[in-house]
Amino acid sequence: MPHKYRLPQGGKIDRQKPIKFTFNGVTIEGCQGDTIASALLANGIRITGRSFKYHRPRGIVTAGIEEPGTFVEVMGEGRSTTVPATMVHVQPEMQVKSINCWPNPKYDLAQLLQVFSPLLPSGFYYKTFFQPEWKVFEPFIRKMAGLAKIPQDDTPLQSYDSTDTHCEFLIVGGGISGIIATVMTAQTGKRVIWVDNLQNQHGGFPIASADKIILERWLQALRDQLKGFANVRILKQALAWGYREQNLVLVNQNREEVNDVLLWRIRARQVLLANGCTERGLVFPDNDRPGIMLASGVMKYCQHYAVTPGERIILYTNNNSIRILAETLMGQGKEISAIIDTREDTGQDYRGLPPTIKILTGYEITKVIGWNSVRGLIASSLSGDDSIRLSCDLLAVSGGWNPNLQLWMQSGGAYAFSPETATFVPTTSLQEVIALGMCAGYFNPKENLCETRKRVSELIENLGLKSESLELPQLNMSEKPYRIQSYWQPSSTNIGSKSFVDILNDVTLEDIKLALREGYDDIELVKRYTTLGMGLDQGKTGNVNATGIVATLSGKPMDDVGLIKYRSPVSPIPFGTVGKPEGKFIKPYRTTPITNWNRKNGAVLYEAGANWKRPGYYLLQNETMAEAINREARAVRNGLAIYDGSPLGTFEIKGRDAAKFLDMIYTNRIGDIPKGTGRYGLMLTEEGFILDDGVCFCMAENWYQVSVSTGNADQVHLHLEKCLRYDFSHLEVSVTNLTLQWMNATVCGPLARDFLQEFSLDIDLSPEKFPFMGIRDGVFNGMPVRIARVSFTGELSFEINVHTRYLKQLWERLISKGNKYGITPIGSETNHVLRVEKGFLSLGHEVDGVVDPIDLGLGWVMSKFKKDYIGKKAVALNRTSHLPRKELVGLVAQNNDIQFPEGAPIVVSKNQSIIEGHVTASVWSEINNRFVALALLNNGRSRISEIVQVRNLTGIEKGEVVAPCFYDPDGKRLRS
Amino acid sequence: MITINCPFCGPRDEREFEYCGPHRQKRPDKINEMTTSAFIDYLTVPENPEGEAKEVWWHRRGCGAWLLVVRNTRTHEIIKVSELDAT
Ligand SMILES: [Zn+2]
Repeated sequence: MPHKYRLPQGGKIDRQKPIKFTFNGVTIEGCQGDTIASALLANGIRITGRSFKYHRPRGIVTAGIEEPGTFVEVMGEGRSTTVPATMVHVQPEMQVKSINCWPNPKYDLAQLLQVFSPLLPSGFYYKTFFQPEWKVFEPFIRKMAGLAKIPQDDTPLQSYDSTDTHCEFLIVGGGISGIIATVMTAQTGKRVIWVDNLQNQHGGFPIASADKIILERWLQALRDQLKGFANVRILKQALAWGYREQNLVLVNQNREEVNDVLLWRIRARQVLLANGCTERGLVFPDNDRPGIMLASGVMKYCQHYAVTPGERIILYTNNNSIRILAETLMGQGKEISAIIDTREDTGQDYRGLPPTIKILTGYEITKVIGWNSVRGLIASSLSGDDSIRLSCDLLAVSGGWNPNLQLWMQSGGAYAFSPETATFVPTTSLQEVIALGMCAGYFNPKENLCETRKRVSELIENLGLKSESLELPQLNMSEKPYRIQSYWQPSSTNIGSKSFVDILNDVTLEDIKLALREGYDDIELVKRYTTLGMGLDQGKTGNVNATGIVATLSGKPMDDVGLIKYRSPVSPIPFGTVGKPEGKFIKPYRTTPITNWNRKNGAVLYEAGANWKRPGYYLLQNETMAEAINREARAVRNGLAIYDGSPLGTFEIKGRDAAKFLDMIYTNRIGDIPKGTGRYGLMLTEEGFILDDGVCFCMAENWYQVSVSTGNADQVHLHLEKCLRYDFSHLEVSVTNLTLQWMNATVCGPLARDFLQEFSLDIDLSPEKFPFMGIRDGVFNGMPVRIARVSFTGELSFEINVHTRYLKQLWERLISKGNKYGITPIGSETNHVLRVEKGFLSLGHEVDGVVDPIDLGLGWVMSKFKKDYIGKKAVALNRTSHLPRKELVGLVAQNNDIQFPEGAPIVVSKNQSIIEGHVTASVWSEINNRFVALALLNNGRSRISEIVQVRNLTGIEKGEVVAPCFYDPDGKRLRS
Repeated sequence: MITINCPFCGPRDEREFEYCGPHRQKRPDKINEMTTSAFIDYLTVPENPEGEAKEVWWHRRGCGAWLLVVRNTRTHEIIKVSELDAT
């Protein structure tokens, strides 16, 4: 298939290697080396997407990472979501879909929205957020926002990894100044990392073809020279996307050979930003029509991909860099019908061009003709006395050049408006970083070469290092300095057209005017009000125009308005690179010595706080999850069960002032706990919130052992240490974390005592000698054990603690001897059911950062005799308002078949939009043969037996308020 | 992600440390005798300077030292790291 718009020769594509792929189901043929965008343009495909808000037809605008027009989803093998079509190389059999089009970009149903676009004015988001019924709008907005759908299967798109490294010099940028800086710093012998940045892979400031050949040859020689340096590490296919404090630069590298993305965290002594520059567009009516492209894009498609996507070409500009494009296109035998320049005085800029090109200086475009594709335009003189109609099928636009300040701004560097170049350039830095070349505002290639060499050698010299002098190439054609005159907005706009400032996010000149009229005069407020620059491209081609417009309309200087702050990432990156790798290596899952036993015996393992993997329940053959939990619950209540309680946080508190310290930490009295027994206690924060609950045992004088919730162990450890190092540093106490030293098997159920008496054990287990809350050291079948009589299930229970190395042995002995008792291993799901039946507290459910101990019926744990403990004053203070408190109650549905969902609101009967409480836990209680729930309810304790209304997903259900305990309210069984 | 120069271990990555809040006055001895407004001030009005701020860091996954870090909140520059004065 001949490509309609492919040039017969030139370019860096391989015409001998055709590649077929599909775009929205249609087979397209490109060449080896094509991007999706260049292949589409070569085939004359104009409409490649639909805009987010108005669903206007859009085409390809640029040739790089700054692309605001066309985003695609790549499906199948090597799939990715929401990437610019300009950044993906075509692969055989690749399936590509443009996003935000349905059913396809040509016939877009949502285009009807254009008719209703007054319904979606600027500030729509702002105003909608103030409405109470946001949830009504949300699905609609999500659908319209047009990001690719989240993939349904959760297999990762690629694998991800991360690594840390250091260097003396980090060079970001693979262009002219990047290569110069790398070669010069390499000669210092210090560690150099060079990020051959993807961000530079766009048009870049144009260079005349003859000079380009000289320059590329010279740069290639420098690249070859680099191979001799062992101190240089080159990161290819990489994107520096974040710049953090202390010169930490985050780089994503696509490693195609291993199909992964590697995140580099690079800490550099000195960073050299050679990020290059990006062309910006011009704002004029209907400047988003397919066929209107940035000049730098047209240039790159011509030079690199041998594509010129048009026959009748017009150039539109406010600066002289466009002349090089005109000469390049003519060099390929293309005709330029006109150059429209907004400048009145273009000096010698167009001298020597053939007279067939109509040069209109002091003209602006006032109208674009064509809907699905540009067909022509009307240009009017700025003086207003002339207008002319021209036809074209390609309009190349240059609004001037902007240094890529994204990383510079992230580093905290300052910038200022330069009137000569009509853009913002870097000034003083905050960290050890310099900007080079085009990134520093030196666009002209000759200037770029000289300034880069000068700055890098100054830097090297200032650091007391040495490098050889570098000879620069002779460029012939690039004598002319860059000349530009600001042009921010059309002098008039006609109704019915839209002049886009941000093409990706559909933000128009009118939107900015509206924002200013409504008083949002700060550029950051304009951004939030209009969504300007908030798209995937972060406004790389539009933001400076926006500043120009705001400055013009508000009469402020450009520097006072400033730029919208660029944030990381510079360009979208996969979540996998920032989310996954650390979990694997730095915070691995924790397991106990019997995790493998659990796996072999049907355990379904969950992450259960603090990175512990533990059994949720054990599945027997042909059993459902509910059946398994009920079976386990019956074993605890009627027979014998065993639970791996090892992850429980365990701390040893020792020292002369241990009791004094714990009396400050716990709400209840600790100092008078008799040796060999424990006491249930609460820890509060100074603000009066519940930090943790657990048991504190007195082992001997000045020696305590504290057990805390699994998920909270790290927090409690921090709290204890902080108190000790800080507020109570005068106390002589040591805290030792023994969580991993003491593991335990908890044997529970009415048969537990009989069962344990079968073993050789030197501890008297009788209730008289070893009562509830006792703790004893002893020897169990030759193993040293520490047995505690605590219960989280409300049943007779012995927590047998052993050193980690004995747990497996202990567990297997208990299991093998317990078979005749029907010993049943139970998981955390069953524990949850049993604790709800007893109304025991669970931090994740009942404690929400608002309730205090009294609300939970734990007022008895708050010592009235202690003058002071952490949180005492705050709890008292919080209660002085006498507002209704949410109190813990039990809740049963009147309809026995109903299970209230956890989190369901309890509503006031007279006005069902007022919430007076919520369900905190809800389970099937096997022993009661019904669903039971716990809830927090306004003044709940005084409302026992009242009927309340619970809103679930389908409607209102009635429930009866009961005491928060559904089993053995007197606690006879756990004390037995 | 910052690097903290632990006086015992040398420069180490932030991931080894636990941030333990701004340095504040020690818990008053007789908190139960404080007036309500003084107590609320103590509890809810921490210093939050723009510029040099004193922070407490715990080298939790390192040597275990408690450190007083003086850090510039504008520039992220770490001006001084010393052992938390345990008096
Ligand atoms: Zn240390």
